[in-house]
Amino acid sequence: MRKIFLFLFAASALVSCGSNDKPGSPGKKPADPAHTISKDGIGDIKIGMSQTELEKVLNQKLAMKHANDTGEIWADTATVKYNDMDLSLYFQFMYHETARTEMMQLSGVETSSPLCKTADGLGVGDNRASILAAYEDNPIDMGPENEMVNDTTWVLSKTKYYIYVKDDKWDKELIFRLVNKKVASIEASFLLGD
Amino acid sequence: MKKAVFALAIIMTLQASAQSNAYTISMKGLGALKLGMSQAELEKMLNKKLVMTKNYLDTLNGYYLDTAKLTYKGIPVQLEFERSYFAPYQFRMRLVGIRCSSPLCKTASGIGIGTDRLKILTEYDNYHSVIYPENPISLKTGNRNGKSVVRVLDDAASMMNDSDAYTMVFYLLNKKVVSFELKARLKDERD
Repeated sequence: MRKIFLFLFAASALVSCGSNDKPGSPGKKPADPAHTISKDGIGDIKIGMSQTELEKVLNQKLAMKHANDTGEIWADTATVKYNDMDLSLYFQFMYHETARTEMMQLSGVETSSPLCKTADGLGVGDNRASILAAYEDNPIDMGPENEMVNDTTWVLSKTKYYIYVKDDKWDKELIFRLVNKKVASIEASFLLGD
Repeated sequence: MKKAVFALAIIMTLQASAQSNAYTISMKGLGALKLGMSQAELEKMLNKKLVMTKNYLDTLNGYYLDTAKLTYKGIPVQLEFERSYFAPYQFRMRLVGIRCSSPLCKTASGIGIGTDRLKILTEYDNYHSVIYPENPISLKTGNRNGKSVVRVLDDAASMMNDSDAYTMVFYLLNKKVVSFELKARLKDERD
Protein backbone atom coordinates (compact mmCIF):
# COMPACT_ATOMS: atom_id res chain seq x y z
CA MET A 1 0.00 0.00 0.00
CA ARG A 2 2.79 2.33 0.98
CA LYS A 3 4.63 1.56 -2.27
CA ILE A 4 1.48 2.28 -4.30
CA PHE A 5 1.06 5.62 -2.49
CA LEU A 6 4.71 6.58 -3.09
CA PHE A 7 4.40 5.65 -6.78
CA LEU A 8 1.24 7.75 -7.21
CA PHE A 9 2.86 10.70 -5.40
CA ALA A 10 5.97 10.54 -7.64
CA ALA A 11 3.84 10.22 -10.78
CA SER A 12 1.69 13.25 -9.93
CA ALA A 13 4.82 15.32 -9.12
CA LEU A 14 6.29 14.48 -12.54
CA VAL A 15 3.08 15.40 -14.35
CA SER A 16 2.70 18.76 -12.58
CA CYS A 17 6.34 19.66 -13.34
CA GLY A 18 5.74 19.34 -17.06
CA SER A 19 2.36 21.12 -17.37
CA ASN A 20 3.46 24.69 -16.43
CA ASP A 21 6.36 24.90 -18.85
CA LYS A 22 5.85 26.15 -22.38
CA PRO A 23 8.63 25.99 -24.99
CA GLY A 24 10.31 29.37 -25.21
CA SER A 25 8.68 30.66 -21.98
CA PRO A 26 10.11 28.63 -19.11
CA GLY A 27 8.06 28.98 -15.98
CA LYS A 28 5.37 31.13 -17.64
CA LYS A 29 1.78 30.07 -17.28
CA PRO A 30 -0.50 31.14 -20.14
CA ALA A 31 -3.89 32.60 -19.25
CA ASP A 32 -7.19 30.91 -20.01
CA PRO A 33 -8.75 32.05 -23.32
CA ALA A 34 -11.06 34.58 -21.62
CA HIS A 35 -8.03 36.44 -20.27
CA THR A 36 -5.64 35.91 -23.17
CA ILE A 37 -4.54 38.91 -25.20
CA SER A 38 -3.28 38.67 -28.75
CA LYS A 39 -2.98 41.20 -31.53
CA ASP A 40 -6.61 40.34 -32.40
CA GLY A 41 -8.03 41.30 -29.00
CA ILE A 42 -8.81 39.96 -25.54
CA GLY A 43 -11.08 36.95 -25.11
CA ASP A 44 -14.22 37.55 -27.19
CA ILE A 45 -13.41 41.24 -27.67
CA LYS A 46 -11.95 41.47 -31.16
CA ILE A 47 -10.23 44.39 -32.88
CA GLY A 48 -12.41 45.54 -35.76
CA MET A 49 -15.75 44.88 -34.02
CA SER A 50 -18.33 47.61 -34.30
CA GLN A 51 -19.65 49.33 -31.20
CA THR A 52 -22.94 47.46 -31.69
CA GLU A 53 -21.28 44.05 -31.94
CA LEU A 54 -19.20 44.80 -28.88
CA GLU A 55 -22.21 45.86 -26.82
CA LYS A 56 -23.84 42.54 -27.75
CA VAL A 57 -20.78 40.57 -26.60
CA LEU A 58 -20.51 42.56 -23.39
CA ASN A 59 -24.28 42.61 -22.89
CA GLN A 60 -24.15 46.26 -21.92
CA LYS A 61 -24.40 49.71 -23.48
CA LEU A 62 -21.02 51.41 -23.70
CA ALA A 63 -20.64 54.84 -22.12
CA MET A 64 -18.53 56.62 -24.73
CA LYS A 65 -16.45 59.51 -23.45
CA HIS A 66 -17.41 61.92 -26.26
CA ALA A 67 -20.98 60.74 -26.70
CA ASN A 68 -22.39 64.19 -25.88
CA ASP A 69 -19.83 66.24 -27.81
CA THR A 70 -21.10 68.33 -30.70
CA GLY A 71 -19.46 68.23 -34.11
CA GLU A 72 -17.82 65.30 -35.88
CA ILE A 73 -16.29 62.65 -33.65
CA TRP A 74 -13.53 60.61 -35.32
CA ALA A 75 -12.33 58.74 -32.25
CA ASP A 76 -13.75 57.82 -28.89
CA THR A 77 -12.99 55.72 -25.80
CA ALA A 78 -14.87 53.71 -23.20
CA THR A 79 -13.91 51.66 -20.16
CA VAL A 80 -15.51 48.36 -19.20
CA LYS A 81 -15.12 45.54 -16.76
CA TYR A 82 -14.72 42.26 -18.64
CA ASN A 83 -13.99 38.93 -16.94
CA ASP A 84 -12.74 40.82 -13.83
CA MET A 85 -10.36 42.93 -15.93
CA ASP A 86 -10.59 46.70 -16.38
CA LEU A 87 -10.30 47.40 -20.09
CA SER A 88 -9.88 50.62 -22.05
CA LEU A 89 -11.57 50.43 -25.44
CA TYR A 90 -10.44 52.72 -28.27
CA PHE A 91 -12.71 53.39 -31.21
CA GLN A 92 -12.26 54.98 -34.60
CA PHE A 93 -15.03 56.27 -36.84
CA MET A 94 -15.11 54.17 -39.99
CA TYR A 95 -17.14 54.15 -43.18
CA HIS A 96 -17.94 50.59 -44.20
CA GLU A 97 -17.95 50.67 -48.02
CA THR A 98 -19.77 47.38 -48.64
CA ALA A 99 -22.48 47.87 -46.04
CA ARG A 100 -22.55 51.63 -46.81
CA THR A 101 -22.79 52.45 -43.14
CA GLU A 102 -20.80 54.57 -40.77
CA MET A 103 -19.81 53.13 -37.44
CA MET A 104 -17.48 53.32 -34.50
CA GLN A 105 -15.04 50.45 -34.86
CA LEU A 106 -12.85 49.02 -32.12
CA SER A 107 -9.28 49.96 -33.03
CA GLY A 108 -7.60 49.07 -29.74
CA VAL A 109 -8.13 47.40 -26.38
CA GLU A 110 -5.75 47.96 -23.47
CA THR A 111 -5.48 46.63 -19.95
CA SER A 112 -3.25 46.86 -16.88
CA SER A 113 -4.86 43.82 -15.28
CA PRO A 114 -2.45 41.18 -14.00
CA LEU A 115 -5.06 38.58 -15.03
CA CYS A 116 -4.41 39.30 -18.68
CA LYS A 117 -1.61 37.34 -20.34
CA THR A 118 -0.38 36.57 -23.83
CA ALA A 119 -0.39 33.00 -25.13
CA ASP A 120 3.22 32.78 -23.93
CA GLY A 121 2.24 33.83 -20.43
CA LEU A 122 3.61 37.38 -20.62
CA GLY A 123 1.80 40.03 -18.67
CA VAL A 124 2.01 42.99 -16.34
CA GLY A 125 5.25 42.95 -14.39
CA ASP A 126 7.35 41.21 -17.03
CA ASN A 127 10.51 42.82 -18.34
CA ARG A 128 11.84 43.73 -21.77
CA ALA A 129 14.11 40.69 -22.05
CA SER A 130 11.13 38.32 -21.64
CA ILE A 131 9.23 40.08 -24.42
CA LEU A 132 12.21 40.05 -26.79
CA ALA A 133 12.78 36.35 -26.10
CA ALA A 134 9.12 35.48 -26.74
CA TYR A 135 8.97 37.42 -30.02
CA GLU A 136 12.47 36.97 -31.37
CA ASP A 137 11.24 36.32 -34.92
CA ASN A 138 8.76 39.19 -35.03
CA PRO A 139 9.21 42.70 -36.38
CA ILE A 140 9.58 44.93 -33.34
CA ASP A 141 9.66 48.68 -32.88
CA MET A 142 10.71 49.83 -29.41
CA GLY A 143 12.10 52.76 -27.53
CA PRO A 144 11.53 55.42 -24.87
CA GLU A 145 8.19 57.22 -25.08
CA ASN A 146 8.09 60.85 -26.14
CA GLU A 147 7.11 63.20 -23.31
CA MET A 148 5.91 66.75 -23.72
CA VAL A 149 7.89 69.18 -21.57
CA ASN A 150 6.04 72.26 -22.80
CA ASP A 151 4.06 73.41 -25.84
CA THR A 152 7.09 73.26 -28.12
CA THR A 153 9.42 70.73 -26.55
CA TRP A 154 9.35 66.95 -26.51
CA VAL A 155 11.95 64.75 -24.83
CA LEU A 156 12.53 61.02 -24.61
CA SER A 157 11.22 59.60 -21.33
CA LYS A 158 13.62 58.16 -18.78
CA THR A 159 10.96 55.87 -17.29
CA LYS A 160 8.37 55.05 -19.95
CA TYR A 161 9.12 52.63 -22.75
CA TYR A 162 7.10 51.01 -25.53
CA ILE A 163 7.49 47.78 -27.49
CA TYR A 164 5.32 47.30 -30.58
CA VAL A 165 5.24 43.67 -31.73
CA LYS A 166 3.98 43.00 -35.24
CA ASP A 167 3.82 39.90 -37.40
CA ASP A 168 4.07 39.07 -41.08
CA LYS A 169 0.53 40.17 -41.82
CA TRP A 170 1.33 43.76 -40.74
CA ASP A 171 -2.34 44.40 -39.90
CA LYS A 172 -2.45 44.59 -36.10
CA GLU A 173 0.07 44.67 -33.29
CA LEU A 174 0.60 44.04 -29.60
CA ILE A 175 1.85 47.04 -27.67
CA PHE A 176 3.66 46.54 -24.38
CA ARG A 177 4.01 49.71 -22.34
CA LEU A 178 6.69 49.60 -19.67
CA VAL A 179 7.28 51.87 -16.73
CA ASN A 180 10.60 51.56 -14.93
CA LYS A 181 11.46 48.52 -17.04
CA LYS A 182 8.35 46.50 -16.15
CA VAL A 183 5.24 45.97 -18.26
CA ALA A 184 2.52 48.30 -16.99
CA SER A 185 -0.09 47.65 -19.67
CA ILE A 186 -0.68 45.65 -22.85
CA GLU A 187 -2.72 46.77 -25.84
CA ALA A 188 -3.98 45.00 -28.97
CA SER A 189 -4.36 47.48 -31.80
CA PHE A 190 -4.70 48.11 -35.49
CA LEU A 191 -1.43 49.17 -37.07
CA LEU A 192 -1.72 52.93 -36.97
CA GLY A 193 1.45 53.84 -38.84
CA ASP A 194 3.75 54.13 -35.82
CA MET B 1 68.04 51.46 -21.34
CA LYS B 2 65.03 51.24 -19.05
CA LYS B 3 63.88 54.69 -20.12
CA ALA B 4 64.20 53.74 -23.79
CA VAL B 5 62.11 50.60 -23.32
CA PHE B 6 59.52 52.56 -21.38
CA ALA B 7 59.34 55.24 -24.09
CA LEU B 8 59.02 52.55 -26.78
CA ALA B 9 56.19 50.90 -24.86
CA ILE B 10 54.34 54.23 -24.65
CA ILE B 11 54.82 54.89 -28.37
CA MET B 12 53.56 51.41 -29.29
CA THR B 13 50.53 51.80 -27.02
CA LEU B 14 49.66 55.15 -28.59
CA GLN B 15 50.05 53.71 -32.08
CA ALA B 16 47.82 50.74 -31.25
CA SER B 17 45.25 53.10 -29.79
CA ALA B 18 45.32 55.30 -32.88
CA GLN B 19 44.98 52.24 -35.09
CA SER B 20 41.99 50.92 -33.12
CA ASN B 21 40.35 54.36 -33.19
CA ALA B 22 40.61 54.26 -36.97
CA TYR B 23 38.12 51.39 -36.97
CA THR B 24 35.83 52.62 -34.22
CA ILE B 25 32.19 52.90 -35.25
CA SER B 26 29.91 55.49 -33.75
CA MET B 27 26.58 57.02 -34.72
CA LYS B 28 28.50 59.72 -36.54
CA GLY B 29 31.01 57.73 -38.51
CA LEU B 30 33.81 55.22 -38.84
CA GLY B 31 37.17 56.39 -37.56
CA ALA B 32 38.02 59.63 -39.38
CA LEU B 33 35.17 59.17 -41.87
CA LYS B 34 32.51 61.43 -40.41
CA LEU B 35 28.95 61.65 -41.71
CA GLY B 36 28.28 65.13 -43.01
CA MET B 37 31.77 65.62 -44.47
CA SER B 38 31.80 66.99 -47.98
CA GLN B 39 33.33 65.11 -50.87
CA ALA B 40 36.11 67.73 -51.03
CA GLU B 41 36.92 67.37 -47.32
CA LEU B 42 37.07 63.60 -47.65
CA GLU B 43 39.27 63.70 -50.73
CA LYS B 44 41.68 66.04 -48.94
CA MET B 45 41.81 63.81 -45.88
CA LEU B 46 42.21 60.59 -47.87
CA ASN B 47 44.55 62.25 -50.35
CA LYS B 48 42.71 60.67 -53.27
CA LYS B 49 39.94 61.47 -55.72
CA LEU B 50 36.70 59.63 -55.05
CA VAL B 51 35.18 57.85 -58.05
CA MET B 52 31.41 58.19 -57.92
CA THR B 53 29.30 55.51 -59.61
CA LYS B 54 26.58 57.80 -60.99
CA ASN B 55 26.79 61.27 -62.47
CA TYR B 56 25.80 63.56 -59.63
CA LEU B 57 26.55 66.62 -61.75
CA ASP B 58 23.58 65.75 -63.93
CA THR B 59 21.18 68.13 -62.24
CA LEU B 60 18.62 67.64 -65.01
CA ASN B 61 17.95 63.94 -64.47
CA GLY B 62 18.24 63.70 -60.74
CA TYR B 63 20.88 61.56 -58.99
CA TYR B 64 20.65 63.31 -55.68
CA LEU B 65 22.44 60.28 -54.29
CA ASP B 66 25.70 58.72 -55.36
CA THR B 67 28.12 56.11 -54.03
CA ALA B 68 31.85 55.52 -54.01
CA LYS B 69 33.76 52.39 -53.02
CA LEU B 70 37.24 52.63 -51.59
CA THR B 71 39.75 51.02 -49.28
CA TYR B 72 40.07 52.89 -46.01
CA LYS B 73 42.87 51.87 -43.63
CA GLY B 74 43.03 48.53 -45.43
CA ILE B 75 39.30 47.73 -45.26
CA PRO B 76 36.74 48.01 -48.08
CA VAL B 77 34.01 50.56 -47.43
CA GLN B 78 31.11 51.92 -49.45
CA LEU B 79 30.30 55.58 -49.04
CA GLU B 80 26.96 57.16 -49.90
CA PHE B 81 26.69 60.83 -50.77
CA GLU B 82 23.73 63.17 -51.04
CA ARG B 83 23.52 66.40 -52.95
CA SER B 84 23.30 69.32 -50.51
CA TYR B 85 22.48 72.83 -51.69
CA PHE B 86 24.12 75.59 -49.68
CA ALA B 87 23.03 78.46 -51.96
CA PRO B 88 20.74 78.85 -55.01
CA TYR B 89 22.04 76.49 -57.75
CA GLN B 90 25.15 75.67 -55.71
CA PHE B 91 25.60 72.30 -54.11
CA ARG B 92 28.16 69.89 -52.78
CA MET B 93 28.05 66.16 -52.15
CA ARG B 94 27.98 65.28 -48.47
CA LEU B 95 28.61 61.92 -46.84
CA VAL B 96 25.32 60.41 -45.60
CA GLY B 97 26.14 56.71 -45.45
CA ILE B 98 29.05 54.38 -44.67
CA ARG B 99 28.72 50.63 -45.21
CA CYS B 100 31.30 48.06 -44.15
CA SER B 101 31.61 44.40 -43.17
CA SER B 102 35.14 44.29 -41.75
CA PRO B 103 35.59 42.47 -38.43
CA LEU B 104 38.13 45.16 -37.48
CA CYS B 105 35.31 47.68 -37.08
CA LYS B 106 33.67 47.86 -33.67
CA THR B 107 31.83 50.32 -31.50
CA ALA B 108 33.58 51.64 -28.38
CA SER B 109 31.78 48.92 -26.40
CA GLY B 110 32.93 46.16 -28.73
CA ILE B 111 29.86 45.63 -30.92
CA GLY B 112 30.82 44.57 -34.43
CA ILE B 113 30.79 41.69 -36.88
CA GLY B 114 29.63 38.52 -35.12
CA THR B 115 27.87 40.32 -32.26
CA ASP B 116 24.61 38.78 -31.14
CA ARG B 117 21.33 40.66 -31.64
CA LEU B 118 20.53 40.67 -27.94
CA LYS B 119 23.84 42.34 -27.10
CA ILE B 120 23.05 45.19 -29.50
CA LEU B 121 19.60 45.69 -27.98
CA THR B 122 21.01 45.60 -24.46
CA GLU B 123 23.77 48.09 -25.30
CA TYR B 124 21.32 50.54 -26.90
CA ASP B 125 18.36 49.96 -24.60
CA ASN B 126 17.82 53.72 -24.16
CA TYR B 127 17.52 54.27 -27.91
CA HIS B 128 14.66 53.82 -30.34
CA SER B 129 15.32 50.50 -32.12
CA VAL B 130 13.53 48.79 -34.96
CA ILE B 131 14.00 45.12 -35.72
CA TYR B 132 12.59 43.39 -38.78
CA PRO B 133 13.28 40.45 -41.06
CA GLU B 134 15.09 41.60 -44.19
CA ASN B 135 13.11 39.41 -46.49
CA PRO B 136 9.63 37.96 -46.25
CA ILE B 137 8.96 34.28 -45.73
CA SER B 138 9.88 32.15 -48.74
CA LEU B 139 6.79 31.05 -50.65
CA LYS B 140 8.59 27.84 -51.59
CA THR B 141 9.93 26.68 -48.24
CA GLY B 142 7.82 28.70 -45.81
CA ASN B 143 11.05 29.64 -44.05
CA ARG B 144 12.89 32.86 -43.64
CA ASN B 145 16.40 33.18 -45.01
CA GLY B 146 17.70 34.09 -41.56
CA LYS B 147 18.37 37.71 -42.47
CA SER B 148 17.21 40.51 -40.23
CA VAL B 149 17.99 44.15 -39.58
CA VAL B 150 18.38 46.14 -36.37
CA ARG B 151 18.20 49.91 -36.71
CA VAL B 152 19.25 52.07 -33.77
CA LEU B 153 18.14 55.69 -34.02
CA ASP B 154 19.55 58.62 -32.12
CA ASP B 155 17.17 61.05 -30.43
CA ALA B 156 16.94 63.37 -33.42
CA ALA B 157 16.14 60.50 -35.81
CA SER B 158 13.62 59.05 -33.37
CA MET B 159 11.79 62.31 -32.76
CA MET B 160 12.10 63.56 -36.34
CA ASN B 161 13.77 66.75 -35.10
CA ASP B 162 14.85 69.39 -37.51
CA SER B 163 18.54 68.75 -36.87
CA ASP B 164 21.14 66.28 -38.10
CA ALA B 165 19.91 62.79 -37.28
CA TYR B 166 21.89 59.54 -37.18
CA THR B 167 21.04 55.86 -37.43
CA MET B 168 23.19 52.75 -37.01
CA VAL B 169 21.95 49.83 -39.07
CA PHE B 170 23.12 46.31 -38.28
CA TYR B 171 22.52 43.57 -40.85
CA LEU B 172 22.26 40.15 -39.25
CA LEU B 173 22.31 36.56 -40.42
CA ASN B 174 20.91 34.07 -37.93
CA LYS B 175 20.98 36.79 -35.26
CA LYS B 176 24.67 37.67 -35.68
CA VAL B 177 25.96 40.88 -37.27
CA VAL B 178 27.42 40.39 -40.75
CA SER B 179 27.68 44.03 -41.82
CA PHE B 180 26.68 47.49 -40.67
CA GLU B 181 25.73 50.83 -42.10
CA LEU B 182 25.92 54.29 -40.59
CA LYS B 183 23.34 56.72 -41.97
CA ALA B 184 22.65 60.40 -41.57
CA ARG B 185 19.69 62.64 -42.35
CA LEU B 186 21.33 66.04 -42.59
CA LYS B 187 19.73 69.40 -41.98
CA ASP B 188 19.30 71.61 -45.03
CA GLU B 189 22.36 73.85 -45.26
CA ARG B 190 20.26 76.71 -46.53
CA ASP B 191 18.32 76.99 -43.24
